[in-house]
Amino acid sequence: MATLADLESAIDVLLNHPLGVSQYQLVRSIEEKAYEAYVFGLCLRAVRELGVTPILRSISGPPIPFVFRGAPGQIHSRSRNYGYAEFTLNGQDFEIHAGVEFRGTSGMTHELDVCIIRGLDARACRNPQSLDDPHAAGLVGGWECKFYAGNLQKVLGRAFVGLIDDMGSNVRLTGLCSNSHHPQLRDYFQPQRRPYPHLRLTPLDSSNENIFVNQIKGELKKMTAA
Amino acid sequence: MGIHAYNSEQALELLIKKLTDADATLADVVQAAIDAGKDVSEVEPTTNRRKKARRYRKTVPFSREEALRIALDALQAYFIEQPLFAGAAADSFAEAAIGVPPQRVYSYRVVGDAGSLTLEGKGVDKDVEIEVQTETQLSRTGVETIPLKRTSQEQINEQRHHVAILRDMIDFSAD
Repeated sequence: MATLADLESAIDVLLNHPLGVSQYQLVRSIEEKAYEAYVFGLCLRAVRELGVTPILRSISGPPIPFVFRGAPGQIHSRSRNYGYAEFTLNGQDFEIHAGVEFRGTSGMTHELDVCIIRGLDARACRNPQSLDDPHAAGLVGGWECKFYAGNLQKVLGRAFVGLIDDMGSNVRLTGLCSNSHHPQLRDYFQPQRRPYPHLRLTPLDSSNENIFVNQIKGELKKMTAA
Repeated sequence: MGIHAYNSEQALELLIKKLTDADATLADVVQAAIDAGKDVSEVEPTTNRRKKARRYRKTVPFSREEALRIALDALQAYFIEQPLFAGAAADSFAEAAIGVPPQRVYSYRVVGDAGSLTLEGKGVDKDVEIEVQTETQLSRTGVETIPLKRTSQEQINEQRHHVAILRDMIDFSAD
């Protein structure tokens, strides 16, 4: 029979492990961004599975190290050597970014945690003669990424639906990605043109990872087909 | 006779106490996940046989057993999922190439906005960092970035095992 002392000892083993409380203390300031990096990595995987090697770039010089923005910022910002990835599929250039601000159809700017944008539009926005936020028209895919230790909050879904509504009709892929879930959010995202609920998107569930990756592959193939 | 010499209330109290002693912020995160409660569907009984019973949604607290599971889910998110995110990202980055602008040695040319690029490092782990001090931040103290580091699979497996043991210890269904 398990006693309270046994339980206490099992809790101690969990908390005192190198991936216990010390791990929490290490990641708590970057937990959201680490999740974004994971989703960014899934986009790289999708590109690779299309037979293309994604190329890591940065705003100035080689991306060594590859730096993820800690807060929303401009695609042309040189405040740090922020990283992004580029790839060419069937003659069309694309870029994958994290934490970049877009100009919505209303003129208001919105941050997308992870996005795929047409290369031509991204380069134009970085051109020193025409520095700008990318416009909604150049957006191919955009994902909101939320790491949650508990249930996801409904308000995040509502806010992202509003954001996507302002991104026009060119965007082909949108989704709310989270390691967590909320029982009502899946229903909320059901209507057409609403973001896809990539809930429980985590390495602990490879089938959800495959859905995410395959959606990107399918859309990129469709839009670049001759 | 049950297989536990403690009940769910004692187990939850102990877990929260141990968490608070170890890291009060983590205890708060876990407590918040528990306190969010859950939605249930309630049925309003009717005395009129011709009227259908009315159903409505209600937010209620988790039971002690559910709260224990929620607490372990929250700990799993930090202790297992976070290292897995870093590992999965590292794997994806390793398979990408680094595009180096022209001032360095040429080996392979591609056309990009900076002209010809050298592609390096495919199949090699990359240094990935997350900005902590953001570009609009006025006060700058402490580290500027934090590296996203891969953790050994062995350590992750150990923690998965520890979480599984705890899940068994808080499962009161057979009592």
